[in-house]
Amino acid sequence: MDNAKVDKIVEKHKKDSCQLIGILQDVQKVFNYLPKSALDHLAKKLDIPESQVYNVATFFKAFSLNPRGKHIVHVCMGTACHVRGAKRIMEDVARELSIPEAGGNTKDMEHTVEQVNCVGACALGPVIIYDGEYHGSMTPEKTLKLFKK
Amino acid sequence: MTKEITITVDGRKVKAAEGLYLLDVLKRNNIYVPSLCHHDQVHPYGVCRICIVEMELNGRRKVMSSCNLKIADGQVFHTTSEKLTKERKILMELMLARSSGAKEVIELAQRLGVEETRFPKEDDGCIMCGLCVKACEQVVGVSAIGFESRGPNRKVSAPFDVEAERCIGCGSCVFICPTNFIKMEDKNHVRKIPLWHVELKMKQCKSCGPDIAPEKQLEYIRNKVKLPENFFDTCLNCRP
Ligand code: SF4
Ligand code: FES
Ligand code: FES
Repeated sequence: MDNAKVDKIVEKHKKDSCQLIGILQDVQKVFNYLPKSALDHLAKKLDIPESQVYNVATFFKAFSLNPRGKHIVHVCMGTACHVRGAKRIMEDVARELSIPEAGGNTKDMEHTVEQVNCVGACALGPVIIYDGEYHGSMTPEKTLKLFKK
Repeated sequence: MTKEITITVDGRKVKAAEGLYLLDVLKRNNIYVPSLCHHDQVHPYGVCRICIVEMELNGRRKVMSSCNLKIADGQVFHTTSEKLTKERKILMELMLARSSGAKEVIELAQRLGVEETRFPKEDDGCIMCGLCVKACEQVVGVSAIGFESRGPNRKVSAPFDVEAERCIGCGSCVFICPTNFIKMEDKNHVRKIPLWHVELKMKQCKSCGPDIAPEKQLEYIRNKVKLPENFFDTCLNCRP
C-alpha cells in the first residue's frame, strides 16, 4: 500500500529521475519522513541506484530519514534570531517537551522540533515555524503556547 | 584523427592530441604534478585540488586543477611557482589534519614539504576523493556505494549505512582507494568488506579447491558477457 503511494508520486513526475528532489519532497509529504522501504522502492521505480537516492536524501537538511512527529516545529537559530533570544526559546522548549536541545521528537510523537539557520525573516526574529506557519517576535512564553494548541 | 596541438609547460613545448586532460599529458611527459583524486579509468572529479597548475590568461596567471582541464592549442602552463607551492601546502595541511594517520597522505605531505599541520588533527583516513564511488559506478557499473550528507558530515557509505545490496565484492574500491581506507578480508571462503557491511560467499575451483572470487561477482560477469553456466566452475589454472 505504501509502495502504491510512491508509485503515484513517480507517475506524477513522469518517472523522471531528474526530478528526484521534487519526488522526495512529495514522498516526505505523504509519510512525514523518508522511510527506507519507500526509498528502496523509489530507486527501483526510477531505475537509479539506491546510493543516488540516499545521497540526495541525506544531502538536504529538509529531508529526514527518521520518523517525525505529527507537527513539525522549526526554531530559527540564525544569527539575528540567536541574538534576540532564540537560544532561550530553544532551551525552554527542550525542557518543556523533554527533548534534547539540538531538537528531536517528543515521546508521544506529537511534535518534532528542529533547529534551522535563518529562514530569511530576520526582521521578525526570533522566528518559529509551526507546521509551515511563521510566527515572529517570539518569546519562550508565546512559543510554549503554540504547543498547547 | 584528433588534431595534434602544442602547449607550453614550464617553458618547454609539448605536443599532444587536442582535448586531452592536462594532467594525463603531463604524466606522459614525465612532468610531475601531484594528484590524489585522479585515476585514468574514472572521469575526472576535481575535488582534491592538489593537481593545481597555473595557466597564462590575458597576461595573468590563473590557478586551475589540471586533471579536469582539457588542453587547447597554444596554452601556456606553469607547474611550479611560489604560489602553487604555498597553495598545495595548505591543501596538504588540511588533508593531513583530517587523516593524520594515513601513510599515503603523510608521505605526499612530506614530499610537498609539509611535516606538520597547524589544524586540529583527526584520524579519518578517507580524503573524500570519491574514487571508490566513481569506480563502482563507471568501471564496475554497479553503483553499490555513494556519498552521504554534506559538509563536515560527508562520507562514503553504502545506502542507509547497512549492507550494500548491489555490491558484488569485486574489491575495485579497495584497489583504487589512494589511502587504503577500505579494508577487505578473505577468510573461510567468505569475503568481507566491513565499510559496506558486506559478507559474500566465495566460489571455489571444482578441480583444485582454492577460492576464485565471490559467487556474486562471477555471476555478474557471467551475465554481463553471457558466458555458459559452468564457466567459472574451475579457476584459470585448471582450464583446459
Ligand atoms: S574511501 Fe578511499 S577511494 Fe573512497 S572517497 Fe575515501 S579516500 Fe577516496
Ligand atoms: S536569523 Fe532567523 S530568520 Fe534570519
Ligand atoms: S587530482 Fe585533480 S583535483 Fe584531484
